[in-house]
Amino acid sequence: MTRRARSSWILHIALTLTAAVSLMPFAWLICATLKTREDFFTYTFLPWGDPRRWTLANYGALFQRYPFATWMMNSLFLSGAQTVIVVTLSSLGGFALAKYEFRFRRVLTLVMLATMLLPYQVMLPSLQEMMYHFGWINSYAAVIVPGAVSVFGIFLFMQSMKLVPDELLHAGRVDGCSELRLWWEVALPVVRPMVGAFTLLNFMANWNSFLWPQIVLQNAAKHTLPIGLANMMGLPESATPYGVLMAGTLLSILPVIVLFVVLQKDFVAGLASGAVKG
Amino acid sequence: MQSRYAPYFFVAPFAILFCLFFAYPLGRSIMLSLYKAATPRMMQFVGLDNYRMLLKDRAFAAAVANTTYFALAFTLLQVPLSLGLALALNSRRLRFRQFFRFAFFSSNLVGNVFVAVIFSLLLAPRHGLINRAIGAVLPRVGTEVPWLSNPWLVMPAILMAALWLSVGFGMIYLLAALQGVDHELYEAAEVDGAGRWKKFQHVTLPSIAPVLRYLMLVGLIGAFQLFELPYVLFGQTTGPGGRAITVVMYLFTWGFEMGDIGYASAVGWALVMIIFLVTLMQFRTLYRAREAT
Amino acid sequence: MAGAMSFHLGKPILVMALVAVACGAALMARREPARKDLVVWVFAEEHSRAYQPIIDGFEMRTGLSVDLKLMNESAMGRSLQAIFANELRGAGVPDVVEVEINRVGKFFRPPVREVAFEPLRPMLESSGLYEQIVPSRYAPYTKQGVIFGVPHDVHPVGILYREDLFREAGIDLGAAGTWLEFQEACLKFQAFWRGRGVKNRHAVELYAAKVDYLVVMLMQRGVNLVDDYDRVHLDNPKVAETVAFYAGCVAGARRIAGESSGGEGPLARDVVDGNLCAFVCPDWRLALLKEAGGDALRGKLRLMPLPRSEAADAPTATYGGTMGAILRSSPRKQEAWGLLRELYFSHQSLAARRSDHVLPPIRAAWDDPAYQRGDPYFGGQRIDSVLIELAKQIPPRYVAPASGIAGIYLSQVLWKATRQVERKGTEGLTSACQVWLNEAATDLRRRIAQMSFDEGGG
Repeated sequence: MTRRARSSWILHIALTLTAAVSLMPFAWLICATLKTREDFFTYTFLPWGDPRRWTLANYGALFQRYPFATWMMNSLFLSGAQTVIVVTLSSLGGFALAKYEFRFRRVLTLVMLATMLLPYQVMLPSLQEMMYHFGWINSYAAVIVPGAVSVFGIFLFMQSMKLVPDELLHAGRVDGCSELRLWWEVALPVVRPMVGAFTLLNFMANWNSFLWPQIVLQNAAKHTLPIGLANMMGLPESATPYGVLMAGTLLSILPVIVLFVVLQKDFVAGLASGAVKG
Repeated sequence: MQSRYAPYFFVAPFAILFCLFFAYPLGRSIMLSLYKAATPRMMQFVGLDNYRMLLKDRAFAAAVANTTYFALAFTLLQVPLSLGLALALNSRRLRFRQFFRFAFFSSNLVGNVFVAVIFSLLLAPRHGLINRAIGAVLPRVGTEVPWLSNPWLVMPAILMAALWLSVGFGMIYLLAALQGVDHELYEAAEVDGAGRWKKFQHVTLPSIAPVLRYLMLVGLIGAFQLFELPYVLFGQTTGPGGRAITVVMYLFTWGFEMGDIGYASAVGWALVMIIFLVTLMQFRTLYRAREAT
Repeated sequence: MAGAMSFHLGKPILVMALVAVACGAALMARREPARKDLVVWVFAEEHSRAYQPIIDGFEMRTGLSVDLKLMNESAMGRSLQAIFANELRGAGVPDVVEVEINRVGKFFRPPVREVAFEPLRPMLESSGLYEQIVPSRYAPYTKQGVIFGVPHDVHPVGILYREDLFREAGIDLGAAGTWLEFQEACLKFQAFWRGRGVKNRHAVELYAAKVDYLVVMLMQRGVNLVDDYDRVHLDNPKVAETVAFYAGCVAGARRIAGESSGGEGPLARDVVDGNLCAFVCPDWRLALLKEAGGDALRGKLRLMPLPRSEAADAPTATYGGTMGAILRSSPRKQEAWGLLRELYFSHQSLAARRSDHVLPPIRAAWDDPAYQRGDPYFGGQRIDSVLIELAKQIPPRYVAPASGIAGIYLSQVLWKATRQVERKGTEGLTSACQVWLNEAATDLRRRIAQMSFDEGGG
C-alpha cells in the first residue's frame, strides 16, 4: 500500500468512527421511543433478542394522552408564519439599504450595526410588560410581531444584495418595471442561495426557540413543541413518561431535518457566497 | 410606485417594528433597571442600587463565573473541532462527502431543548448511554460518573451537549470557506516548495480567517446567552452547588419567577456590558495577532 | 409549475406560507370557551383527575359553572407572577389556584397586605376547620403569621429501604434510631456486599451537592434556612453540625451514599437493581414507586422513621406539598372558598384519597379503618399507620422569598464541605462550615434587605 492510500484509509476510518459517535444519540433516541416503560432503563438500546417487547405505544400515547398535535400545529404555524414574514421584510429592507441612496440610510445602518451584537434577553422584562399593555399575552402575535425584526437578516440581505448588478436594475427600470417588481424579479433571483440559507437558519431558530414563547404563551393550548416537551419532564412528584417524551422529541426534530435536506444546496452555496463573513 | 419613495416603503415595515419592539423596550429596560418592582403600585425607585447589589450578589457572581467558564471552554473547543472536521471533509481523497457532511451537521438541527432532553437521559448514572460506554471502555472509571450531580461535572456535561449541537455548524461554515480558497494560491505555494504545514499556515489560515473570526465572535456571544441547555438538563433548578445558573437564567428567575422586573433588567444590562467587553477584547486580540503576522 | 417557478423566495417559503396558513386557520377555528363562574388552576394530573367528579357535584348543587384547568407548574407560576405584576382581572385570571410549596415563597415578596392571595384564617375558623388541620402544616403558607393557603397534604417523610438486602447482610436497619447508628449500619451493609464482590451497591440515596435531603435533616432539628419573618438561620450552629455530618455521609471514608439521576423512573430502576438500597421517602413517593417498581420490588421494601441527630429532634420532616389558595382579586371569594373546602375536605375527597398513601391534613380523617390495614406490597407492613405516626410529629417548614437563594448558598457550602472531607477527613469540619455559613448568612441578609418591601426586613 502506498503512503497516500494508507492515509486515505485512515482518514475514512477516523471520519466513520467520528460520524458513528455523532450519530449515536440519534440511534439511541430511535430505540428509546420503541421501548416500554419497564424496559426503558434496563436495555441500553433495545431488547434485540425479543422483538415482541418493542412497542409503538409511545407514539399513540403522545397523541392520545398529550396535546402533541396542538403543539405541532402551533410550532408549524408560528415558525412558518414568522419565517415567511422575516424573510420578506429582511430582503425588502436589505434591498433598499444596498441599492438605494436615501436620507436615513446611514443612520439606519449604523443603528443596526450597533445593536446587532446586543443580547435580546435584556429586553425580556420590558417587552413582556409591553405585551401585557397590548393585551397580547397568550396570543400568537406576541411571538410573531416582535420576532419580525431581524437585524441580522437585514444585514445579511444588505450585504448580499450589493452583488446585484446595477445594470440589471437599470435595464429593468427602462423596461418599465415597478421598484417592487425589481426586488421580486431581479434582485431576489440573484440572492436565491442567501434566501435559502437564511430561511433555514431562521426557521431552525424559531422552531427551537423556547425562552420568549415560554414567557408569553402561558396557555397550554398555545404551547409549542419545545415548551410542551420541556414541561413533560415536570416535577419529581409526577413520573416522567420517558418513552413518550423521546417519541415526541424524535417527531419534533423531523420537520427541520426535512427542511434541511431540501435546502442543503442553497444553504452551503449561501454560506460560500461570503455574505456572512464578518 | 416612484423610485424616490420606494426605499422608504421598503424599509418602513422594518423600521417601524424596530422602533416599537426593539428601541423602545431597550430604553424602557434602562428605566426599569432603576426600580425595585413587584406590582405596578409597588415600584420603588432605587437609583443604582440594583447595580450595586449585583456587584455584591453571590448568586450573580456564580452565574457570571459559570457562564464565563462555559463561554471560554466552548469557544476554545468548538472552533478547533469544527476546523478539524472541515479540513478532513475538504480532503480531495474523501468519498461520501455528502454523507459525512450530513452526519456531522444533523445534530445541529436538533434544538437546544430537545438536546437537553436527550442528554438528561444519556448522562444518567449506570443506565445512561454515555456512562455505559465509559464503563465498557474504561472499566476502572466505571458507570457511575455523576455528570448531573457533581458540581465539577456540570459544565463538562453542558459542554458535551453544546458541542454535539454546534460543532457541525462551525464545520459547515468552515467547509464552505475552505472550498472557496483560491487553488492558484496552493499551486504557487507548491512551486515555492511549501510543505503541508506551510501551506496551511500561509494559504489556508489567512484565507479562512474572516470566517474563523466570525465563528469565534458568534460562538462567544451565543455562549454568554446560555440558557436552555442547563435549564432543561438540570430540571429547571440551579444545579448541584449552584453550578448550572447562568446569567440569562438568573435574569429569567428574577424577572419571571420572583417577579422583580427591575432587578432582572439590571441583570440584562450587566449581560450587555459583559458581551460588550468580550467583543472589544476579542477584536483587540485578533487585530493585534493580525498585525503581528 | 410556472407559478411556483416564479416565486422568487423559493419553494420552501411558499410551502411554509401554505402550511402556516393551514395551521393558522385550523387553530383560529377553535373557539375559546366563555369564562365560567369559577376558574381553578392545578398543576398535578392526579389532582385534576380527583377533582373533576367533586366539581361535577359542586356545579349541580350550586348552579355555578367551574372551569378546572391543568397547567404545567412552572408555566402556572410565571402566569400568576405576571397576573400579579400587572394586576390583571377578568378572563384569563383564576379564582382558586394550587401552588407548589417551593414556589409559594416567590409570591410573598410584597408586604402582607399586598400579597395577592386572600388571607384564609377567618374562613378556616368560621368553618371549624382551623383546629382540625395539622397546625405545623400552615407554616409554609404563612407570611408573618397570616395564612394565605390551605394545605392539601402533610407529606411526612420516612426512609424506605430494601429490607431483603439489609436482612441478607444481617442488619436490621429499622433499629437505627440516630443518624450515627444509621451511618454505622449502612457502612456494615456496604462492607458486606463489597466483600461479596457486588459493585455499585450504595446504602442510601444522598447527594454530594444537592441540598434537598440536607434541608430535610435540618427541618427535623427545627431549623428553616429562612423563616416566615424573613429571618436567616443559615448561621445557626445546628446547620454547621448537620452539614458536617451530612458531608461525611456523602464523601470520604465513611461514605454511605450513592446518587441517582432524578425522577422516579431511574430511582426505581436503581432500587430494583440494588444500586441504591434506601432513600428518603415522602408519602407521595410510595404510589409512584409501586407503579415504577412493579413486581420486582413486591414485598422487599419497608418504611422506617427518619433517624434523629439528637433526642429532641422530630423523627420526620416534610418534602413537597401543595397549597390551595384564593386570589384576592377574585369576585367570588365565598363561592371559591366553598369549592376549595369541598375539593380538599369533603367526604368524597377524603375517601378518594385513601388509596394512594397521601395523607390529608385533617387529623380526624386518619382514624378511618382503611389506614390501619397492612399493605402486601410492603410485606404486610401497616405503612399508612407509620405515616400517620410521623404526620403527627412533622416540624414546621417555612417558605420565604429568599428560600431558593438560601438553598443555593447552602449547596455551595455543602460542596466545600464535601471536598474538605475528601482531602482531610472530617477533622475540624464543623468549625470550617460555621465560618462558611456565617459568610453566606451575612450575604443573604443583605440580599433580603434589598429585595423585600417590608420596613427593616431581614
